[in-house]
Amino acid sequence: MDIKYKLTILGLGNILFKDEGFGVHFVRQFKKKYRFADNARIIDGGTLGYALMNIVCQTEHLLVIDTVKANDKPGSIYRFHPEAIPSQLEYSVSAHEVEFLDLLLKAEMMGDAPQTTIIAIIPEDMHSVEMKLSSTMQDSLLTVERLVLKEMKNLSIEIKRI
Amino acid sequence: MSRRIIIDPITRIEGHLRIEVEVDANNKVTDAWSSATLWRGIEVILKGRDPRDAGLITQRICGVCTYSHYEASTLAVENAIGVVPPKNARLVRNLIKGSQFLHDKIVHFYHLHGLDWVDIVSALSANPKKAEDMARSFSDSPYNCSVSHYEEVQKRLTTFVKSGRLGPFAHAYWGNKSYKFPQEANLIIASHYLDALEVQRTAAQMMAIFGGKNPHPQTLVVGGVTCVMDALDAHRLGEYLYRLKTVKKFIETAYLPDVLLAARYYKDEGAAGIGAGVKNYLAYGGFPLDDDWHKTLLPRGAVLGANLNKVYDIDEEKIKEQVTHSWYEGSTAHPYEGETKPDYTGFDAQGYLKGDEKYSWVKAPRYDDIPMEVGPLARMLVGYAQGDEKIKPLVEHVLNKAQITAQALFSTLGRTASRCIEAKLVADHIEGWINELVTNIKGGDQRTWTRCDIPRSAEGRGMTEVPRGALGHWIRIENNVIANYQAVVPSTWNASPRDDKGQRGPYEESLIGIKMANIDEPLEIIRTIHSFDPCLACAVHIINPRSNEIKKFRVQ
Repeated sequence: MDIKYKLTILGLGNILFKDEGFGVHFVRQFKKKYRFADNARIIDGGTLGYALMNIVCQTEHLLVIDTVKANDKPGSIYRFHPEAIPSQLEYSVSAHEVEFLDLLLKAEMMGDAPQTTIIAIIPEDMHSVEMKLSSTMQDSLLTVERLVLKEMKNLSIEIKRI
Repeated sequence: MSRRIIIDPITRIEGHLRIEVEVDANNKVTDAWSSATLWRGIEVILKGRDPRDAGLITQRICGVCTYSHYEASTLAVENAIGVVPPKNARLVRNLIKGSQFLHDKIVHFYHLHGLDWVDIVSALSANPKKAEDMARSFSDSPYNCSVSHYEEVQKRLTTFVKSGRLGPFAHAYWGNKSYKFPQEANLIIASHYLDALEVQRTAAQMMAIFGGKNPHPQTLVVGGVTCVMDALDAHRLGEYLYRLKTVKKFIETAYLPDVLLAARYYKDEGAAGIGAGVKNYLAYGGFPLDDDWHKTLLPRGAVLGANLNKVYDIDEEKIKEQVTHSWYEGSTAHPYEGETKPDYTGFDAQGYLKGDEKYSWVKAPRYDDIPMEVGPLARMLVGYAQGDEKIKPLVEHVLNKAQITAQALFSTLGRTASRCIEAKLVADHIEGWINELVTNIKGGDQRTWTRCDIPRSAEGRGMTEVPRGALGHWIRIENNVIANYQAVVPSTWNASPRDDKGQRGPYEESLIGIKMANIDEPLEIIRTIHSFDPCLACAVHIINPRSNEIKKFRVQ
């Protein structure tokens, strides 16, 4: 049995498609600003599927930073638990795609699923081939940071500004 | 009357695969088109950058093959500069890549492809005692095999199926007549499906040991590796070896016996050559056994027209990409000259692919104008045809156990079996590389990097074998920075559309003649496409809720 982290913050996305990489950009910025206790960690998950299973199973709480598609304006931020909206989440039949939520279900099947919270933002541009965020997303990094700090505080994770 | 079926798993905007097939009155596929968006604009980002950064950026192309692109890119730059990494670096790279292979193959067979063969619902009503007997008849010491374990598996699966939150099981076609396993076999493999979730974690940990970090390893540099302390540390080697043994045991006592089960109950499909495809096979060679890549564990060569009596040497100049049926402008070009100018012409008025015109974002790579399949089947066939001393006996061993002939390899079943044979091949050789590394270091050679500088202008290519097949990166350097970059990935070969001559790509060709048990359930088509292990849809992550219910979760 692995020793579990109390909290893992996991940023997801593809940094080659501009705002698609929001979660990863968040992780990079956050890491530069804060240092926190050994029972928490922050990870750039990219667009990985099963390779993240180990990380997902090694934590009590999981905070995912991702993008979300919804009929709303870019930059809008959502916070939800995956189990709160299972019936509306679309599972793929795709040839290869491993949805992150699919991964969470498999973790549950193993009896190892963390308590998961997702903070997700509506991207403005996820088509351009660029490694920089659009300015709307750039401005939202701080808002998400505030939300993440709040989550950490609720879990009593010690955190220090570098 | 012919009828068109579309299998279009769109959940994301980028990177999906769409298959259209035409079926006749007997539910038999008469024609097929494969269309996909695939990462094609990499040079946009890479142009003007230091070539040494390319590996770290290209590993973001894909969510499954990160290390693959990292390696190919590093090899391309090394080839351009003319630098040879030292022996220790070569061995460490083989170790990192070995872990990736093992991880990938297990995940593919059980979690991405398994439910195309296994009927989970049928497993629920299997007799656990009979399942135990069956497992013991396929392996001397079957993995995690006991009546109580099988009962526990049934309990866990029942809970999931009953909860309605099927998740990974939501889109299967339970009860379809093309599922051929008896209940007990379904239960055995379903139990390994759950075991494999654990085992793949162990394989992922292996990569982190020499990868510096996981996800996204970063210990490869142009000229060698940076994980010097890990490579020199016996403790780290032990950590790796320990995990290797766990994974290897699973391959030998679960994965291989399960593939033998498939060979038994899907024997007729193998014999009939269902899902064979273009029957031309290409491999670049991978896992170097010497510093100059003269010998590689995975072979280099081509087999044409299913003729196992002749293996062709590879002439890299013959690799060209065509765009007649792809949404690009331009003409046939070698990857060094390749360019990516989109020319999107859309779908027809009924929303179907314009099969006679352009219809895919994938270019059509051809070898000497011939469509080629790449991947484990290609590698095992090339090795077998070459009479490779490591591959041929292993293939024969599995063929004998499964009581099938080499001809049966030209099929969907053969493709899936080859992947397992290859997993065993790689697992068997990793320990040797560890020993070689230890011996070399003990002998006083501690070099892990060869000094090199980026020249003002140069061109080079990195050609290697990755889990899904032959991968090539081509780079041109001018004024010390990247001037052009092209990647031809395995799925480009396999998923390619028609070419100038109208020849179908491997996916397309493999579907011709497949008979569907139920026209509304494209199980047989998905099984064959999945057997290639397509790598198209993994490049983008976005949560896509089906309704606007999500609104209530808005916080900002």
